[in-house]
Amino acid sequence: MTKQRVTLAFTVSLLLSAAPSCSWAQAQGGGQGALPEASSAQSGGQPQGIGSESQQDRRPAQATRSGANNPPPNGEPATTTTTTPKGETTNAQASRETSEGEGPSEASDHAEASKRGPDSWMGEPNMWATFNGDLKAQKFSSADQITRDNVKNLHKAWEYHTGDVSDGSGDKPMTVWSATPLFVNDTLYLGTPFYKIIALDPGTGKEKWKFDPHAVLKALTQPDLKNRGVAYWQAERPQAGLACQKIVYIGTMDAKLYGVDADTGKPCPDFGQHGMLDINQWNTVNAKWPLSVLQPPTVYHDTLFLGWAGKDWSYEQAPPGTVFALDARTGKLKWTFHALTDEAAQHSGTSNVWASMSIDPERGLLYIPVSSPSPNFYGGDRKEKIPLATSVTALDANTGNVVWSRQLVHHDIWDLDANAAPTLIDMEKDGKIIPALVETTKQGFLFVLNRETGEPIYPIEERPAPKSDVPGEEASPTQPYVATPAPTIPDEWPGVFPLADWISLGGCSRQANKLRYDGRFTPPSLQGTITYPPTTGGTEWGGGAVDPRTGIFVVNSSSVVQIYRLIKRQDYQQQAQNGESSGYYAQEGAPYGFQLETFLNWAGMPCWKPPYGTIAAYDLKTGKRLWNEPFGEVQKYGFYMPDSWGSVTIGAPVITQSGLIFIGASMDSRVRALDLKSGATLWSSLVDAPAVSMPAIYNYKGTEYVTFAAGGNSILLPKVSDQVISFALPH
Amino acid sequence: MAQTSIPAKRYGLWLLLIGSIAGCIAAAIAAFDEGNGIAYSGGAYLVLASTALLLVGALALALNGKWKWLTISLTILIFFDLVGTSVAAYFLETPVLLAFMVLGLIGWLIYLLVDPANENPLPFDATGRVTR
Repeated sequence: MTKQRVTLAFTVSLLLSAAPSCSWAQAQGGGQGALPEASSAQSGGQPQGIGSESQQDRRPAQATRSGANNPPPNGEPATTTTTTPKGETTNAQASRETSEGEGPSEASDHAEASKRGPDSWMGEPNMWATFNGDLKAQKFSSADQITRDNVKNLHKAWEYHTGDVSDGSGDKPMTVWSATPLFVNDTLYLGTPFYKIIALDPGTGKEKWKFDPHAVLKALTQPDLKNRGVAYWQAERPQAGLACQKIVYIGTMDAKLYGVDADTGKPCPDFGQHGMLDINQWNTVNAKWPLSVLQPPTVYHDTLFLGWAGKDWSYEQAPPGTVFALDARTGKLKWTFHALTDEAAQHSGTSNVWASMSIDPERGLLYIPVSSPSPNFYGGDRKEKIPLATSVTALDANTGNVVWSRQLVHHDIWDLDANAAPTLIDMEKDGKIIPALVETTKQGFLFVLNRETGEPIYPIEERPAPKSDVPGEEASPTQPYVATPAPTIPDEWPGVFPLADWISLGGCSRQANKLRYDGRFTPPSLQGTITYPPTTGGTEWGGGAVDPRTGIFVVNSSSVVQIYRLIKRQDYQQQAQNGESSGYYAQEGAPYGFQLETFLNWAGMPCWKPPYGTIAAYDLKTGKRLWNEPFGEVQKYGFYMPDSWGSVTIGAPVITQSGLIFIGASMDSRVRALDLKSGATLWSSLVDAPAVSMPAIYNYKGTEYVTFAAGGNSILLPKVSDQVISFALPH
Repeated sequence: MAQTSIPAKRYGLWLLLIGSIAGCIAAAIAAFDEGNGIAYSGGAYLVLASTALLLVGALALALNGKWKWLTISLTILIFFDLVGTSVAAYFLETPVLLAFMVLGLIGWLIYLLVDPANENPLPFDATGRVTR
């Protein structure tokens, strides 16, 4: 039933005080815990850069902290580009790091160095072998059995419940389950928020085996128990009868990485210690918390590429961001990448990679989204150049050397982490085939870059940005701006929503008038700043999907307004507030604490105009936006708000060869199939909780399955589930 | 005295009662049937309560023949209950419940319109004979 009638919306709004954002808060547990995932989560990046736009710093690249990330002696381009004609690294020195006495796994290194191209097992059609479907993060399925014409007949093929769910009311924190199932080895593999691995029959959902590491189920770094699934590796030529020729991996919040045999679920004795690798052994600088492994590693050429998540907003000094390259068989460290300079690592931290990564298998390049540095909302103590922070960076997958890097936010004081694996595509533009990548961002910008060089395919302007009025802070005078493709959200905040303002008797307007707002990148202030987009995005960690045949790129986005306020240390009292949308965060060690508040009225209704979430399609060949529609429905207390309001979204779309988009992501616990041409909804189905992962689409024994993990996410709604549900056409 | 308004009034009350009972059942299903998107939500409990009250009100209206003030009060309250529950059902995207509320509303309208008041019956009986 459509609900466009404003009068009814008005009435019900009065009754219900429905508000998407108030539910974000609900899940955010109090204190330091309760943050939107992107923020709470994982930890962010680092300010830096300041400078002109397409700089190419040709300093040597390094995989170790002492190298590539040293600030340039002068000027400091915002973008560090060490390259590389044609993907070749100009500096191969970057050493392989052998930490703690563990030597590089030499067995296959030489072979790897010369090897290019995808692993053969990953190239089979109709699989879903990685978090993003493939190494290029295209989220594209060649399956074509389900079409525009028959998608309406889609029905539930099977359903499975993992049993690993918590609403937070008991002794376990709430679960946030964003795992994309993997379909490979004729098996569907799942990771759960209790850090178990489950293998299912892809056609029936019947359990094959289950592995339980008996992980610590405490909110050590995140407010919730989080998991985004598992990773899979197999030997190029598996030997029959030998165990662990195929391995499934899962990470835990307490920094363990487990590897188990993909056929039996038994731990692989050669991996780490009896199947468990302690990532925290490399957590040696500012080790305030464990390096949580919530995102499964990226697998390529017998190597696992692993980032980690931390505890944002709590400390000025924190573990510096690292990416580890590990031997897939043994877990031995091959190399380590550091995003922070030595200098910055002393008084800052993070700039880690908590989201997924992508790989160009032909070029042997690893693309990483680097988050912002700590403290996230005050950069007065980290004014030096840190060019790799809040960047998309290309590394030589074999060495960890920086090939190029492009900073997406200079001196990030908004926690605008680069948060999604770049989508790789060979796109045609002006009659040429260009190796490109698309990086979606919390800012709503789509950075379309040449993935060999990092140079923009569509212009990136350096536009003046507002100054900070906070003593000690120096905001970057300019920030990167992308006009084409059009940003996924408006440049200006949407303005006060009259309905919310009326309900609050003018409260929204009065509050807005007291706050600072000078457009995009208005710095946090002592009086409070309207921040749009804030740390929740824009586009979250799911990123976008692309049809590689046509260059049509699809991405969902959220429109959220938050208030950033810095509080002088002497005035600061941290206030843990479970279940509310605002919170206080210490930024311990910095001269300011921080308050984050979603801009709601007394009734919990958003003070800004809808829509709160959209989905859009772009033609990458021209940069034009083809369509842009509100997506999903806000749901509060069970009541659905008008379609035109859309929903805050977390998750990502998947495109099929038959011209369909499958996506969960919305608050309303529905999964949908959209028409790629128009964005029109062709099919939808209720699931037990918001499906905040992307679906796995695969073909098994002649049937195309679309499988969602419907786990819920506290940012959207305090509604969680352990449901795995698969849809197919009737036989 | 047989009046044309009497059977119509009964029909209206029957429709209202049927709508209330069916609505209450539909609301109960909505509140506890997992997987419908609104189960165990505040909104589902709200319409369960409102339809239960509606049922009680409709029964009281049907059984009460004594106190005019009660009839008038119940008639007004039932109207608000019907409208409120309908709006809630609309936003809960529960078309079955909405349909039952519409049914009840039709019954209420019949009851109200063809039975303006007992003291002002139509001036003829079922045979058409003038009675006053």
